[in-house]
Amino acid sequence: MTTDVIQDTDHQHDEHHDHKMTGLKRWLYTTNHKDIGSMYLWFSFIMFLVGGAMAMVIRAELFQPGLQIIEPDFFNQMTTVHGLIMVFGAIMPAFTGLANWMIPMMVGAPDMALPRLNNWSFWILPFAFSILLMSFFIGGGAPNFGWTFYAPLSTTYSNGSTAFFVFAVHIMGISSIMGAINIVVTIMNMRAPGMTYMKMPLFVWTFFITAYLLIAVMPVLAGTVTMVLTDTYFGTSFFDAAGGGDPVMFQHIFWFFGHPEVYIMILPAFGIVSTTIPAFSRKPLFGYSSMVYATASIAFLSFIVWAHHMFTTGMPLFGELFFMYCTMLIAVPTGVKVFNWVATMWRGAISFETPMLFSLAFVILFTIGGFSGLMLAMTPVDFQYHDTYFVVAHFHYVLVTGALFSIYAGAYYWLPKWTGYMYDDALSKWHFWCSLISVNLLFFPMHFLGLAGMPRRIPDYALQFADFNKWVSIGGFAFGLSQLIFLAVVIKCIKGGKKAEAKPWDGAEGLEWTVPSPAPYHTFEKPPKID
Amino acid sequence: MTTKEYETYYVPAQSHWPIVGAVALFFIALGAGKYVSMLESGESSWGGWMLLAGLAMCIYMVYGWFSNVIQESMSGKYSHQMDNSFKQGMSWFIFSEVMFFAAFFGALLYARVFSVPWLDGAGNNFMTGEVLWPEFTATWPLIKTPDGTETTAMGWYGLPLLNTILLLTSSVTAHFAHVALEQDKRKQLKVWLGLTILLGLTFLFFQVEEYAHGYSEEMKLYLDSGIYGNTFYMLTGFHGMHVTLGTIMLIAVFFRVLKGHFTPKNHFAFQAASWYWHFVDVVWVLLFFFVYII
Amino acid sequence: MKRRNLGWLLMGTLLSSSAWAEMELNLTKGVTAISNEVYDLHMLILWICTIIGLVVFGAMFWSMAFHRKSKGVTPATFHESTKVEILWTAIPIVILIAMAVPATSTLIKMENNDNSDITIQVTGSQWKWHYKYFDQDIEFFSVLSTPREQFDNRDGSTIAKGENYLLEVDKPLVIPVNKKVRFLITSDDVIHSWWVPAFAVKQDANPGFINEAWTIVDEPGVYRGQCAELCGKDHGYMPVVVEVKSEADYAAWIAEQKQLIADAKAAEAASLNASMSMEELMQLGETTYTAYCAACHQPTGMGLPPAFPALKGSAIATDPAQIANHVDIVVKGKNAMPPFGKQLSLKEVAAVVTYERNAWGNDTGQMVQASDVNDIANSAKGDTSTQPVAPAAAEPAPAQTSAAVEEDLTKVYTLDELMTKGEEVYMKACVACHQPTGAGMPPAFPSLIGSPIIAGDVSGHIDMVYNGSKKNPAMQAFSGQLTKSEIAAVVTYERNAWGNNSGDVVQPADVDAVSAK
Repeated sequence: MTTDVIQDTDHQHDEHHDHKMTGLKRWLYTTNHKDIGSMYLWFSFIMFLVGGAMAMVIRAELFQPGLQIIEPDFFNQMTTVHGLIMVFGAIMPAFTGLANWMIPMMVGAPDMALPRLNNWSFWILPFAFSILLMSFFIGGGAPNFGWTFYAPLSTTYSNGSTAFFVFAVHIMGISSIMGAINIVVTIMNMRAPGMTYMKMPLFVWTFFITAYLLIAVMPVLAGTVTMVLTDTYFGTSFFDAAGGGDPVMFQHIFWFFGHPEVYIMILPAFGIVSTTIPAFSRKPLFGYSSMVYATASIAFLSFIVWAHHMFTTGMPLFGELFFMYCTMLIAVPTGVKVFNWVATMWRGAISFETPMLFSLAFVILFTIGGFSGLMLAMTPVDFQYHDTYFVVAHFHYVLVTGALFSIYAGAYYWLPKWTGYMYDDALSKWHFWCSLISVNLLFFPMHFLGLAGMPRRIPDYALQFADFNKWVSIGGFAFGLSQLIFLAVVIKCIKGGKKAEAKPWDGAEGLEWTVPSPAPYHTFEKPPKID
Repeated sequence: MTTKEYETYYVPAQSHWPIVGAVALFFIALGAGKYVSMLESGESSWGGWMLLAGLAMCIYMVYGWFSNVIQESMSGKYSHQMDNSFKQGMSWFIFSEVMFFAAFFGALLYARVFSVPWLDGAGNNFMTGEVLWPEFTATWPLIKTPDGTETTAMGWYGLPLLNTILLLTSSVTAHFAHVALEQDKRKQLKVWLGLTILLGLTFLFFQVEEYAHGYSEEMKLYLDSGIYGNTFYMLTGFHGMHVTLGTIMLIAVFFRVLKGHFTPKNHFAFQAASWYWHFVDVVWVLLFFFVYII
Repeated sequence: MKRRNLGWLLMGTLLSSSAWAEMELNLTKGVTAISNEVYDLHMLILWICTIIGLVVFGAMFWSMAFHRKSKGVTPATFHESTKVEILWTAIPIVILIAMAVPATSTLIKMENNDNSDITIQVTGSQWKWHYKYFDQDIEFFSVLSTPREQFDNRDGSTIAKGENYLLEVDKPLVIPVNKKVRFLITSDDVIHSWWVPAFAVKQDANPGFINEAWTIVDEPGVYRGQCAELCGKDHGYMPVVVEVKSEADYAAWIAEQKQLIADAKAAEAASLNASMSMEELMQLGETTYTAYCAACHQPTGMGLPPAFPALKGSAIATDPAQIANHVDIVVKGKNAMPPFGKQLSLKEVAAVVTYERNAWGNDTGQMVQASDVNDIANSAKGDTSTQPVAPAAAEPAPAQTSAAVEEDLTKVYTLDELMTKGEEVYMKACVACHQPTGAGMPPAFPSLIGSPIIAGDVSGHIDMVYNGSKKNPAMQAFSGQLTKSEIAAVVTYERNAWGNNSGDVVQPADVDAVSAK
């Protein structure tokens, strides 16, 4: 693991007389934000590969029409668990990992505010996901009702996996809430003297707001799954008309969680590229305060747009109009962000290191995802797009070329700080270009498939969709393989390479670059002075 | 934070409690999952045992972890800033609890305002009532569901009203206990705190009585008696669980008071328990209004 | 980065070129006024997004090309401008309003379900659609008709897939052109979504609630769509097919359906008085079981626990006290099990219950007759949503034999008459096993397409239908169920449908001749 190379150069701090344990115990018992950050990042990458393997199965089955490899029920398990793992196991922990590593260093704090809680938050995750994965083998198969687990498919009509799914979500929710509380408290309470709110890096701001979203909506998810549990096993009828409930109520409560959840997965991405783009444009971020306000507005709006996922559920006209207008409004602050990034680059002195390449790809491809989002916001047209591959294309553009690419940008940007070595530049560029080309081959044709009428979540399709699906699958396999290059880059970088300076990027700003590379095991035990 | 003097922020040494806690949650989740999914078949499984083991482990973890924290606190390792971290952490935790209840209140209001009237043909659901549920009439409390399950509504007077008074009083006594602590009047502190705990326990006792009444042949108000029974038991049930947790917190604090812990300035654990108690109180008031009265 | 630019331009070219639009790269324009409006809206937003994209990405690429460090530029230091921020907040708002106005007006039109000419209840269930015409007393299920071999290729088989692979059904919904048709969409189990792209109608089918949608179709034709909400295992296999007919054709179709229903009722009533032997019940039971039950409860009766419980040795299927309960579950469903009362005749329910109580070593020896099923189904009233077969019960049942006596065996039919009649009979009596496409479900139910029986001697074929198969117990004798004219018709149909095109015409007299042997 990474930390073998992170030397504790701060021996003089004898307050930590218990100094670092070695071996497994160090990782199990640690309270160090850097250790925990590394564990989050490794965990998320492993989960990314597991979820990715499931995507490969999905794409293999969809390579040509007909059922060649797996049966429909297993296909549904694959799409469901792929979604759950990527959302809760890959993207969110990766962001939490970045937050753990960087936020204390960026605000000049010695560690996260509640270090033991931090370790608990992390260690719940591997257990939660083992329960989810174990459900393939115990009970009647893994969850097969889609990651959105719409009732009553997940309740009365589920296979035996609902209980395992529900409790797994419960404990991963506990993990997320505690992780988020830690981030909020760290930012509110642990800033170095002089680090006022409006001096915080935008990265910190986005995580701050994201953490609020998490605290507000993860409990709602917990409530939702609890109702699913009682509907399935205890005879309640929250989502059953026969008892006075409504299956659509499930969707309302779920998406009240689900839509902010979407922003939980993209706001930190905004924070990352708002760090990298100024660094490699060698020009300060344009419109810092408007970026903060835009982030806050997006977060606020995310609470009043949830039902745009449900336009076809038969809501009253008033509801459809309200949610359409609110959803369209989100384009405004999001647009402000994109314009600000472009204005940051404008008349800068741009260079194209790998983090910048991923950030640039992020801006363009995320914006394409934003455009399709705007199209989806228009209720009458959404009737045609809803639940087709157009939606699949949309959220993969936002989550893969959006969230994931930003995570790569962040990882490349801070790898020298984490490991003390520069990554292999050539290999990292291979990773970027292979990913960029394959990801577009993978997701762009999905727009066409959706417009032509291919529904999502089907294991087999009509013949007119065959050609595009073949290309999509090829793109999928290529994208999957390209990610292994990243693994190679990281392992190589941990093992050695060119020594990294304290500040390897000439345009970089922030407290994290004032400490040596690799960052010492304990940083800022005495708060730095901020002017 | 202002640029006052530099205080060290205590970053604890390695601790094994988090991993114990994670394993405990793993056992709880896996055990509960297995247990619940075997309920219908009635077969026995390892689920229940694993759940119990997990709960035991969880109690062990909480006890051990808190003991550590208390020792650290008593030995003066904590700073003012640390105290703030705890306080803010606790407030956001309570906020997350509020949102958990919000999900169930949301379900209650959705059922009342939308789904039940829609099933009777309100709004754009005229044909729903006409074609699918011609014999259904929307009422709240929903004492006859669309599929014909009948039940009785729980009135607000009697036990619920008494419980409201009990819980509101306990909030006041908890506040007096806090005041006494801040004024360093230890004896009053013990009395008020003890009284709060007693009120909490009485509340729980009456709550069980009320459930027994609900489950009696006379009322036939069950958890599965349609959306009214669902929301009634889920909301009051989760509230009851929180009151139980709050009472346990108060009892733990009470014993610490007896041992002479807490100072007028430094009493985070007391404050956390008392905030939590006020929180369950506020939830009850909302509950009393939305579940029982209207 | 150049590649992305190219991709963007490429997309613009692709979407604007009408030649490409024919190749289904773009949203369909559809065949209704609404679908055309939706298409226009789609194109409007697409163009707005494309233009904004070109401007923004253009500025980015400009920066990347000309404000590069490698060109030795000195970076500017400006980093804020309230004016600019206000500008690029205000302009998008104006654009959004411009988009919201037409969207709102279209949406309001789409949600106006008033003044419809025809109302049809569309009910989804796992995994088929049920259509019920209000005021017409016509209702039927619409099931995927693509044969299993075409999509189940896991054994490596590569049977050519048909033109409408996965988008074809046994009985499409039929509606008239130029009439406002209102759909009342609901579901019997999980959420489905009824979607016909050409109408721009997509509405979720929520169990226990009715959602409304409507359409006025401009051109006759066949329009295909699919279920658009994940509804379990076979979500990908429940297509929607709508046949839009001219008004005259539609009227003729309605009349035809009514005749079919009357015939089916008569047959149902007849079965009430007929008592079947154990052997007959077991035969019919097995075929029915294989067609309707085996997918979940498995051919071995072992089920797929926990979702689909085993029937072998279960209390429900063996305890004599549970017979009524057993019938009741089959007719009305339970938990995940759909009610089969609407799909199976009384006789089939009786047979399948008998079969389940005697197969796989259950050997209870208990028999259930159609009349028992009728009694049980009608005794436990209360749930109005599942009405099994009740209408037939009250009518006096014409005895099967008398019908046979009255039959005019000398009548000579034309090929067309026989084909029409034959299709009806086939859809009633044969389709469950041999499938609407004639491809059967091998190995238990052989394909009829080009099969030796079909291609061989006519009398062998008649014998097979009349007396059943001597080797394969699944093929029962239909002599008791079908009249000789019906057998003549169905044999003719089988010899001429699905590309068999033998041209053979079988008359009732031929059947009579074979039966006499």
